[in-house]
Amino acid sequence: MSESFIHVKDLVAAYEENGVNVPVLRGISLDIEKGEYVAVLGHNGSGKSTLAKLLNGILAPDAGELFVAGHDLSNPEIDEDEIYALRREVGMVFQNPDNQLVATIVEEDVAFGPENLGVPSAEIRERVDRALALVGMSDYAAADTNCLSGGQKQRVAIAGLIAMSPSLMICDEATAMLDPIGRREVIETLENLNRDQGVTVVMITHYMNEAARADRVIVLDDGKILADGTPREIFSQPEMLRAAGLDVPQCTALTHALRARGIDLPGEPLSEEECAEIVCRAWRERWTK
Amino acid sequence: MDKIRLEHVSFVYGDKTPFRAEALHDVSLSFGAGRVTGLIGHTGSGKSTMLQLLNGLEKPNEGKIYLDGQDIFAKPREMRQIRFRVGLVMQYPEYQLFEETVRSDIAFGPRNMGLSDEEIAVRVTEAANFTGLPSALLDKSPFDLSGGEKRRAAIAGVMAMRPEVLVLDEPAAGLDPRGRDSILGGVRAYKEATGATVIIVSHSMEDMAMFCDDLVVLSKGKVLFTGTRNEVFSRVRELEEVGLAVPQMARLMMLLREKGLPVPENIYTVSAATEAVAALFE
Repeated sequence: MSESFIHVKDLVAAYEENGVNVPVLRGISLDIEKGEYVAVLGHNGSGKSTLAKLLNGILAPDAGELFVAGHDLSNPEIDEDEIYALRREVGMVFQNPDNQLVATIVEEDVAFGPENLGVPSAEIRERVDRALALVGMSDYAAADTNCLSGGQKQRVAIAGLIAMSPSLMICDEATAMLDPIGRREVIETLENLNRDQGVTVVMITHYMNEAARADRVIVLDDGKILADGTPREIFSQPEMLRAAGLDVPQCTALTHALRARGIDLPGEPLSEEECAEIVCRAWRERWTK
Repeated sequence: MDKIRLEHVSFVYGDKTPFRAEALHDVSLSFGAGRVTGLIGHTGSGKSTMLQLLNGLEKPNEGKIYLDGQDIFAKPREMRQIRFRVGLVMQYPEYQLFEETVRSDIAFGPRNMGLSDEEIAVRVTEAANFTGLPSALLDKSPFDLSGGEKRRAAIAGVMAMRPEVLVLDEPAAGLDPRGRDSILGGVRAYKEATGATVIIVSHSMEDMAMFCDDLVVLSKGKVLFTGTRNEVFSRVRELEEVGLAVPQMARLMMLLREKGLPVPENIYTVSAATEAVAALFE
């Protein structure tokens, strides 16, 4: 049994299409500790979503070790009760905001999870109010879910998970269908949960600026882990990112292009502000010598 | 020259109900022939409503819309023709695929136009080429394609009608970088081959900076400003005030200027920014 909150070793997963075995994950290993905020990057078909579904027990691994929150998901004999226990701890947010809400009133939707867990009704009330406050949707408790924006719907979906007090939140491109404002709302909500409530977050995305804010970035390519490190370590490798079919953050690309021209720029800027700072300092030095 | 012109257009959802919401208010603007125009603005700013007015899918409560100088609502019987000339690709168009094969799905539009079988076959091949759909996929069920391929098939279905105006509502939303590049590349190929006018909505300012000649900024159902790409993106602070982003490199150049570095305006791409910054060190 492993010490890590999430322990993955030599994990293999495949699906069958027309009788042919198609491998999706080809032996990946990683450990994630409680309280980490991890972004997973990779192009479509790289195995990101399969990994998410494995972590939540929606899919079962074909080989390798997989432990999540103390549950051994690689055990083929795992019983249903243990899967349910796992899902109580692991919340999942999907891409489409219109597919995740079950009730027509916001607070009823948020109460759906704890009701199913058999939580006493007074406590459900408390959990729902707290969850809506945490995602900044208290004012909409009695609103019709159909009248919300995409970002608001995703925040209600997240509140529904919070009401079940999960220790792990998995987001599978949860911001892909949102506009920039909705995206920011959801990301800030997740960051607050991680920072203030200690919820572990695994965020699958292809937006580089979202990954740049994580503690750690894992790059998947063709079912294997291509890189695993801090955002700065990952974004200092533009060739690797391009090879994995990903965008290179523009400030990174600029810094590397300038270095190739012989301009000495220290560090790896992750934002326009940092990049401006570095360029400005180098420029002053250049003309004071 | 104007391809499409809007004059004092207003549009209201749920008029005379308690849910009345005005989506566009007294909008006048024009889209240049053969130009690529980007519409930017928040969700709810009226972008999608405007696109649906352009081919007569919705009718404005007030004002007129002209295509090549002709009022598109003047002769209701000719509306079908207008829709063939102004092709609209809606958000997530892959949900609208329905035929048994990709080929017949792409052929649906041209078939409705009453074209001959030979002409339809030519149009299907041409549209598949623009969007980079391999011919091997054409006889598959659209439901067996990947998400990016489905999106390309749906766009090919509109291109197969060879519209003079191609209108796209967030054609790259939700795709990964490769998928996005292939969709935008397809639109570019169509435009270059046919000289069509293109009107596009996207939330990615980097994509808009690379792709568009002109930009229209909408806010709360009104036109905030219009102009060439350079004119609009030079107003960094004004755009940020209404909560819109500017391309990352435009923002970086503005920060450098504020620090006293003499960098030129109108820089939106990494390669242009590299040249401009490198010049400071020589």
